[in-house]
Amino acid sequence: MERFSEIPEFKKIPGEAELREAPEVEEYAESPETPLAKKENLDGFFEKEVPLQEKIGRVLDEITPKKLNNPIVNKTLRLLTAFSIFMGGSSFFAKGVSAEEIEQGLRQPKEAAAELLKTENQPKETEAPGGWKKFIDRFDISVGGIYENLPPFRGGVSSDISTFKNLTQSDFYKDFSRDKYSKAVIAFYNSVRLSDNSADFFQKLDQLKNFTTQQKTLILQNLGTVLNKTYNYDMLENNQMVKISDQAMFQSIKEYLQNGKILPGGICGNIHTFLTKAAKEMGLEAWLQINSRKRTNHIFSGLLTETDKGKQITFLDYNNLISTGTLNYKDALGIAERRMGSITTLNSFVGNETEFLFPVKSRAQEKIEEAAGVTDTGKELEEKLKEGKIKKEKGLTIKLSPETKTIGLTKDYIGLTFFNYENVYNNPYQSLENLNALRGRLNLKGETLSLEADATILHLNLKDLDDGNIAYDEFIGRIAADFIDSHKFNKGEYGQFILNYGASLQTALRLPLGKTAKESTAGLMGEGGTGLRMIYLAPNNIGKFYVGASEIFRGQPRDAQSKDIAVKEAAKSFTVGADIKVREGKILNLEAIKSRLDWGEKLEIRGGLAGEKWRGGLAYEKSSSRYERFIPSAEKTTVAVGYKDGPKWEIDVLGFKADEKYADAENRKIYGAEVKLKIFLW
Amino acid sequence: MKNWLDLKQILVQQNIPEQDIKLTKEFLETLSFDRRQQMMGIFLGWPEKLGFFVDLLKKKKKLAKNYQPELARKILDLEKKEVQDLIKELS
Repeated sequence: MERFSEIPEFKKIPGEAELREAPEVEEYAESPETPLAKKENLDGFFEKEVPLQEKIGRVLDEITPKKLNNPIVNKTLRLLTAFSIFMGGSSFFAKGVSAEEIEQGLRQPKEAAAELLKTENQPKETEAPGGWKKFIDRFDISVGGIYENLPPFRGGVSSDISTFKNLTQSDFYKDFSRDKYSKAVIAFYNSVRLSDNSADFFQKLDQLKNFTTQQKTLILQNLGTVLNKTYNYDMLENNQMVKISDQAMFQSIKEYLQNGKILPGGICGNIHTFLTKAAKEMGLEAWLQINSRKRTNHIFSGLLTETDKGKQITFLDYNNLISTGTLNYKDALGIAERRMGSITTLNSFVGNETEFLFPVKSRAQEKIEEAAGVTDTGKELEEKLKEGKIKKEKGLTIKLSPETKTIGLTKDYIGLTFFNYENVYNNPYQSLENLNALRGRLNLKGETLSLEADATILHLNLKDLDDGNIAYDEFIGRIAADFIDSHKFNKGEYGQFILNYGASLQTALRLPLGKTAKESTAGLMGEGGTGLRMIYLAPNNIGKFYVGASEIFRGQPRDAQSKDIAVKEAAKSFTVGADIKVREGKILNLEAIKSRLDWGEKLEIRGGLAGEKWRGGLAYEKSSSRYERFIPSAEKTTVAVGYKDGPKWEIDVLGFKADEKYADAENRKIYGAEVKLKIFLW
Repeated sequence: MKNWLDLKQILVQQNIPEQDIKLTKEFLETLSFDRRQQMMGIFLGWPEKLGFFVDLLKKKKKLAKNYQPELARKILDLEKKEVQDLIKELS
């Protein structure tokens, strides 16, 4: 009362005294004598609200701008005004009347009262286009492109090793001398003939380290030719994959070369494990690669070869030597796909004789995964931990670049996306000529749990190494399940702590469609992870500080000679960051993420300043690869500027420059730019 | 300018059940653009009262569907108490 009395203008507010003095507003009494009590129905209820509205009205009618200078009075009056509007509006809504009727029915506060809410107020017009707002919340459109200076393709295939003349018709052996050719062929036969067992054989290969790369690859092609002859078709037909000893493989080779008899050895995984060992014995850098051939899952060998033209990644597929002409592994996989006539999405791993290490993706595989909605499990989990909840959105998304067009519509439980890719720049390292995909999504999202199920039908046109066309269809099914929850600790004078925690699981299956389906096998991927983020909200909205950690696991083939699945730790990340209020309406964001990956380490640092309308940010990523042959070390700098015009629309312009460094290769620079426009229809 | 997504985020953060969030949105959808902006301003301006507002909205909708005198009295009591508390604050 004392505080109120200090403000002379409020001493005589009509209605105020009555409300304070009366413990109950008498109009609401249930006495049967009161006139309103006789109308015990909905209209009667609304009528009972009227006196209360009028009381508020009388308080508000007394407002003068001068009174608003007192912040406490100002705040209370603002809330009183707001409550008055809400009380009326909610009643009209409950009655189910139209917007026009609500507008007419709501009591308009006087000028000064209206001023109270003005600071929160609104621009005029711009209703969403008729009907759209009922269907989607937002409309996102982005236009962008990526530029990288790609070298022309200078590789090829060497398959015919039957004669020196035939051999030297291929680019790889063009400068090969007859003398070296003869020495290599003799060395191969002698290594087999003069060896009693596999250990002897490898010992003899070890003595050929001073041979040239071409001589070594010719020996391997000869070995591949023989091993191909001893291919164990029973194992293939029985869908078996068993480990075959080096000795058994050697016996098959020797039996065939000495007696011309076929002693079945192994299948692709066994054969190329043996070839990889042989290559290493001769001093070549060699590895194993899961990919596919003619839409059948396949394992072949990879080699680093060096000729007068320099070093390059070369694949050995039995007797076929595929020189890719590049040291960029992603590009090399593209060349392999063109040669093999198929793309092994979800099932492309690199490894050695004892285990597969991690997935490697070609450009085509990345596009197919994008079309099928397959995402980076780790990044998705980080985003959800940041939010602390399951995010639900409905909207229309259009993404355009010279090569890729995506149109997606999401509403509540369902989504539909059309994806088109065209190799408009005729990139030789991109095995896809074009791709069309249609993806349907079922979203089941609750407060803390979500389930996404995608079904994608893809039509691919693959170009072979002669620029011929191979068309086929595939189906990719994807299921992602997430659990995210948040626990708020009691807010005290020193701020508040919030713990966000969750788990993600993503699995996808690729199945062939069409006539060739029976020859084909499926691809499967599975990843899962857990994480948490502790957030500290400083008092008085000074800022938010957080630390977090997450761990991602992946299921993958254990090795080239078994069907076992190994679960490996794919990534472990630690995040620290802050959103600090630097001045009214300006937030400074800082974040650092340090990740230990199965192939190396990555550091991401982001900083940005966001105002009411403008925002800008800078991000820097540095990854250090322990396997630069397959995954590049890289640096990437991204600059972004955004402008937001209230909730109507916002625009972001970003550009990046990246440097990628594969082993023995020159740095490759990649530039990209994108403009994103978000229009909120609601 | 107020954005539904911002409001929705606060509703979710406050653990308002999904069906109540939907109801809030339906309520806002029945308003004109300016009135809706004003109402969202109210909701966003007093997040500490958001749960109370939504609860009232829910009760009124329930009442409109199936009139119960006890519920009607409860709603009016809540509204009256809110107004009284606010006016008390002025003193």
